[in-house]
Amino acid sequence: MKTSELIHYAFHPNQLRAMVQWKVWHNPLNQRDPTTEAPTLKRCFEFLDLTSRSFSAVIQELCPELCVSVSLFYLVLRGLDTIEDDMTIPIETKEPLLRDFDKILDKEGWKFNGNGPKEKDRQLLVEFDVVIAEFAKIPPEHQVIIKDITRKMGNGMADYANNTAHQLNGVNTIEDYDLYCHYVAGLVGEGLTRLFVVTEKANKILLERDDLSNSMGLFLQKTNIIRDYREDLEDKRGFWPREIWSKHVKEYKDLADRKNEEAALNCISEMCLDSLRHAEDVLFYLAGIREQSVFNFCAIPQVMAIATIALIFRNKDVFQRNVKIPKGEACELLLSVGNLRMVCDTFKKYIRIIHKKNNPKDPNYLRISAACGKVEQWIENVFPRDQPAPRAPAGPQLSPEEEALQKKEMMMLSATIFGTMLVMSGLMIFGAWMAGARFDLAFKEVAKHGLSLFPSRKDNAPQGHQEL
Amino acid sequence: MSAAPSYPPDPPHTPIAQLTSVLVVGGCGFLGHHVVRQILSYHPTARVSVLDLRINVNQFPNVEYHAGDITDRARVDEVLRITKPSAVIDTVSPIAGLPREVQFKVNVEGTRTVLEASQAAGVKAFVWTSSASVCFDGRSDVINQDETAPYPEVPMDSYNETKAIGERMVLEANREGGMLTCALRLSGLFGEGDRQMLPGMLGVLARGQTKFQIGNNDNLFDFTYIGNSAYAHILAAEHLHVLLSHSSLPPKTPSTVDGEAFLITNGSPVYFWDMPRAIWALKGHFAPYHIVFPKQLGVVMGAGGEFVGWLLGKEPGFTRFKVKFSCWNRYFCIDKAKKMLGYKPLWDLQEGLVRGVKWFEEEEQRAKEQQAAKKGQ
Repeated sequence: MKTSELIHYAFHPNQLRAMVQWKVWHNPLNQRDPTTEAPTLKRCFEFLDLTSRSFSAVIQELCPELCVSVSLFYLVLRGLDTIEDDMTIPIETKEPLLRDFDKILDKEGWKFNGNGPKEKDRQLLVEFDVVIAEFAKIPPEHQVIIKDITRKMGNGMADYANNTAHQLNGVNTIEDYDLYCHYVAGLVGEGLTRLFVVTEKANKILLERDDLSNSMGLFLQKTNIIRDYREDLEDKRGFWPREIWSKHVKEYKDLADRKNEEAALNCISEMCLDSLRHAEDVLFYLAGIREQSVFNFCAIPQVMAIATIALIFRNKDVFQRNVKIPKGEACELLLSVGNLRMVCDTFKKYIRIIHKKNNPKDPNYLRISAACGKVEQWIENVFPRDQPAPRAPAGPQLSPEEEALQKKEMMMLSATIFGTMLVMSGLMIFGAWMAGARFDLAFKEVAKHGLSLFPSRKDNAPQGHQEL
Repeated sequence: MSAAPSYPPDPPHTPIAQLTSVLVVGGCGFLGHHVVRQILSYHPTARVSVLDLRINVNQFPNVEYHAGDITDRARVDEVLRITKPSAVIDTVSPIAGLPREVQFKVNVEGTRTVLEASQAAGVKAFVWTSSASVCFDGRSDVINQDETAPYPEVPMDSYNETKAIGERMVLEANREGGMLTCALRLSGLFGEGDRQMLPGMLGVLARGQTKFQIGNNDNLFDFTYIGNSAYAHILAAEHLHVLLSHSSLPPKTPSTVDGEAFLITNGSPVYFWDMPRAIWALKGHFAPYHIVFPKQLGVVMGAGGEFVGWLLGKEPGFTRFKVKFSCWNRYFCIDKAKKMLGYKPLWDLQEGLVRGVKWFEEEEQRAKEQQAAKKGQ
């Protein structure tokens, strides 16, 4: 553990406690039994550990009906992503691979070693035959869903790869940004929802409301896009829409220039504001999940996302380095996911943090306040807080005369109290004056500097001491 | 006589029914003149007339203006006879804090007079401006309140009490004499023509008191840009006309808009102190730091304010109620208006503030010019 981390946990003992609790007490809801697994499936789970840093654990705790299908879904999309990401593959090879990736899933023994040596997940494609072998064993209705999403995503990626304007200028409008995020994340949400509904782990209504599952993906993807500004910039990529950043700086890379700090902070807060519009959809979606392991699987990334937004909101470090929520806080979040109410409490907690960091100098100040208020109101709608029952009128209603009398009595009482205090303080001041206190000097000081609650440092300078 | 200031064009709205002839009662007031302006903009073919106590302010061309007291039945009858409206929109509201007799006279007697006269004159649709405070008991938070909340047994003050009486009267009169009624409960109004909220918050700025905050500012508050409240009136009148356009009037059910009260806000509660800070930001002022008083201390200071006020025999400016009010939640659920009236704010809070502050600056400019002109004479 680094010194900085030690200091952090010294001030956040709750997070340290959460880390210990998670390590010691956490019982997975469901556990794989590797002894019964075929070698190809074991290899698939190894790949899952290798390729997904954050999702592997939650996927492996999914209920048995979904665990393997969701793992393979993840690996298929990871394979697709590894082809799309690799700039060493010429477009003539890349495009047909992307467009036909769903058909590859039927080709027994297919593997690919055309990735550049630097591509971090190239080994997955080198041994992709294990994924295909296992894919053939999952229920046919799962296969249909996974293939359908793979086809849509592959075609979307191919369109972007072909689109030179997108390659050169990045994302233009907020609409483009939403569409891009839909292809890379919203579609995953759609596919998962279909898997959940087909296994009866989620309410059917979620199928009709594909805007909700889309928001699930967008909320995560947009959070990552904001957080990874610096990393992407170093890779010469950028996903922040021009429509937003061009309001604040001339060139995309100017955001990283410390000279433009204020503009950059206003820009990141507008990016966060754009993400927050999906927050209510996320909570709404979670209300439709019926099974605990699926609920955890869906909710954990979302609470991590809202915590990340609270961390990166108006945080200038995002433009210089990779900012991450501390491990202890992540463990706290893992422990905080149990049911919708707990997730709502977590959302509210982070919404309040965003509200506290909001700054009136920001052109979107009031809009951010309203976005936070909207999430709070949504939560209030679903879980109304206990409100005091309407109080019965206190005693009989008073006539105006009685009311005036009552008021007079109260005022006389206050007058007595204030009067006594006045006499007492008068006596004390008189006593002080007799003892030689110089009120004249004190008054002069006040006249000179005004009665300020927080005198500036200058006023406290040595000459003040002389008079004391 | 002064004309209303010029306004930028309104966002598009497709009427679901044509308004042919509308009388706006209180049409020179803060809310009323916005209603008039929007009828002109969304229903350019409608005949628009106004009945108000004073008609020398906020006038628009192509509108008939009639001066008159709404408690004077003969005068109201006369104006209705001249203008022959199919719809009456009654926006009259006295300032809260006026004496009890005035509140009763305007909110109860005035409402009854206009209501009964309209029925007698064969008016078809009657829209009445109510207040979200009709369900406010003045003792605790209002959290996500909707129209199912009851009127409090003991009203907070005579404004709320008389508004509730008026509202009940209007809603109970629904369908009597063939006239459909509904009421709109407004809250936290601001915008062009505002004499309370914007001037109040700009006054705090002028006095240099922007550093102070009472309470933790986690309390949410609903504010409403006046244009949106006015828009709700247009929608309500249109919806009543849609009902009337049926060959035979559909039976009254909970899903027909007549006889119903609707809460109208901007639909976006914000943290209380964020609102004044957003206003001051528009004036280029940002408090360098904030001095936060806990609520309890604020209440004690409020008591001090009341005490001084009592000693001096004046209405105190700083009271325990005002302190508590600024620390309370006060926001509403406007789903009923969204569903039944198809209401959706046309301007968000920030757009409303920009328009309101601009108007206020122009007003100051006009006042200065007038003073300069006087001095020149």
